[in-house]
Amino acid sequence: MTSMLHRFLTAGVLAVWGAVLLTIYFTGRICAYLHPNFQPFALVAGCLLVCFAFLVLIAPPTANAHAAARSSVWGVLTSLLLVAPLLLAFTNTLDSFGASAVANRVYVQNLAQLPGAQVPAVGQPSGTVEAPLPDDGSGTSQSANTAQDDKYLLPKNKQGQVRAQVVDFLYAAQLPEIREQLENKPVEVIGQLMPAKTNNPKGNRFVVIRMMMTCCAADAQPIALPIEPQHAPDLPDMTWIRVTGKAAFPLEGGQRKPLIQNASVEKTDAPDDPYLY
Amino acid sequence: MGGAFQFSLSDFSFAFLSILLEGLPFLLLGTMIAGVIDQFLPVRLMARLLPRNAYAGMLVSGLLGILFPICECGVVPIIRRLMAKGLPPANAITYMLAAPIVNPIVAASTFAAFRGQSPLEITFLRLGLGYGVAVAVGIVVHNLPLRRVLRAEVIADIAQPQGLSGGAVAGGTVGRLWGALAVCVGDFLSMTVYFVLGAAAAALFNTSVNQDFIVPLATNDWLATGSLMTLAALLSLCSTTDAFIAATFSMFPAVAKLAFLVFGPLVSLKLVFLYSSVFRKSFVLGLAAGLFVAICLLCIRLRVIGL
Repeated sequence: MTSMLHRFLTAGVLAVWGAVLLTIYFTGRICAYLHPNFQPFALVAGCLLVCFAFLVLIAPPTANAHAAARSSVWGVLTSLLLVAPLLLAFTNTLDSFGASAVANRVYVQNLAQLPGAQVPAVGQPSGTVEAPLPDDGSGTSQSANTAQDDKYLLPKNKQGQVRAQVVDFLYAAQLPEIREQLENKPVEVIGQLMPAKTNNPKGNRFVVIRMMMTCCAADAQPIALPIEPQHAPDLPDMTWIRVTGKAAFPLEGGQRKPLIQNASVEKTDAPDDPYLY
Repeated sequence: MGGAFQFSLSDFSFAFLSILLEGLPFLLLGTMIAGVIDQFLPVRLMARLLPRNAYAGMLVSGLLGILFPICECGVVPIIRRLMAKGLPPANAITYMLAAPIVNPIVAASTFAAFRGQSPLEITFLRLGLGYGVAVAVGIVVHNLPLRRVLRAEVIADIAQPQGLSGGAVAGGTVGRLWGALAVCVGDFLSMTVYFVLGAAAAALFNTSVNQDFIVPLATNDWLATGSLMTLAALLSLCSTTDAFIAATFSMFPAVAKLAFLVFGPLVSLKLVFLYSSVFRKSFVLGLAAGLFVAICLLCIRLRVIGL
């Protein structure tokens, strides 16, 4: 391959990767892809790649001599393989998972399955949950739950309904001091509509889910809360919905399972940050 | 809904990009370190620092991750450079396999993720098994001819100890920095080809295959362990955070989760492609199969200690 062609191909590939990373970062799309802790790495990598692209263009010829010895065809093919899938993915994603990808994952429906949560041991005093309740990105859950004396206090909305996150119900099923704030009380929860895959004996339930991210979207898991609606909602899967109803924790299969009964469902806007962390 | 396989281009693209965005910075970091190693690390220094005895050298190499923690994406370009700088391939492979597990970050994340699920035992066993398996593979590689392990061009790098760049570029420190950039960029592009292929395979499984189908396997130790190891290979998670996913497989026995934690950082779709940039394909396949069998047997054997 000619030295000049190699130089431009290399710089072009680096520039495209850097530009994609920086575009995703500066347009805010990064929030859909990475946990906040990982987002700065993408920014740094994007900046470095753009810098490297520039440096490759002005580098002395000796620095590129070895790679330039490869054939032109190989160089072009490699560059295409590096750039085409990236651009194809970049332009063909909705920056969120659709219903089929979520349905293909195992729903998290109890505390033991929740990433990073600690299931209290038998006999452990209630109120000593070592893992904090996950942050929903809005600050609501964290601020409400970072209460004194290890007691989590859930907020109420203007209608007097307890405003809880999907994940609060998983904790409540295990921890009496959270359950007493929810059980048999009017509650409000926001999430995405999906069909119930299990624990649906009469076939009248659906689930409201929130995706919980550990590092990146690929590892996000749906945290699911079963809902028994007054009327089956006529909305597409993955629609953001606001559910209001009465919280219950019936014993099913020997375990307390969270459930919202007699629920009303209405379409709502997606929260600023769709993920729990 | 409910089928075993459903493909959506948007979902695939989303998962694919997220894997790339998460792993690429670490791959870039690894290739930058590789560039610095190539230009600034004196030839044979690593070999001189390690014990003269080959087996003692492998035992020490397996612990280098404690001092130089790096995840599995970044370690591959580094060992390629270290071999070109005179580190024996057996030691390099031991470091490559051990470093993503035997390092303080992974120890801390595993301990945190398994709170309430025997965290000390799981962390100790994960690091211990990872170390033991890495050293064992190093010993096997030590007794194999290089041509059965490494790609021809990598053997050529070793035979020409200055490395792929042709050694230090004239012009002192500035010249070496240009040389480091050339090595970094060259390694980054060649590794990223494999990373892209691995990420695509992982994203395809991640979004298109119904994972509910593996849940019934949890009731049998052999099936549970084998299926979680397969899942680890397919998901291609980063070793620094995979424990948070493993801990959530509450219906699976602890031995299966341990196997997931040990096998995943050593063999995954992403890594098979990355390894192929340095090692012969037959060696990579043999390594994957051998590690699968060995880790599965070792982990199930741990049932005897009540795990």
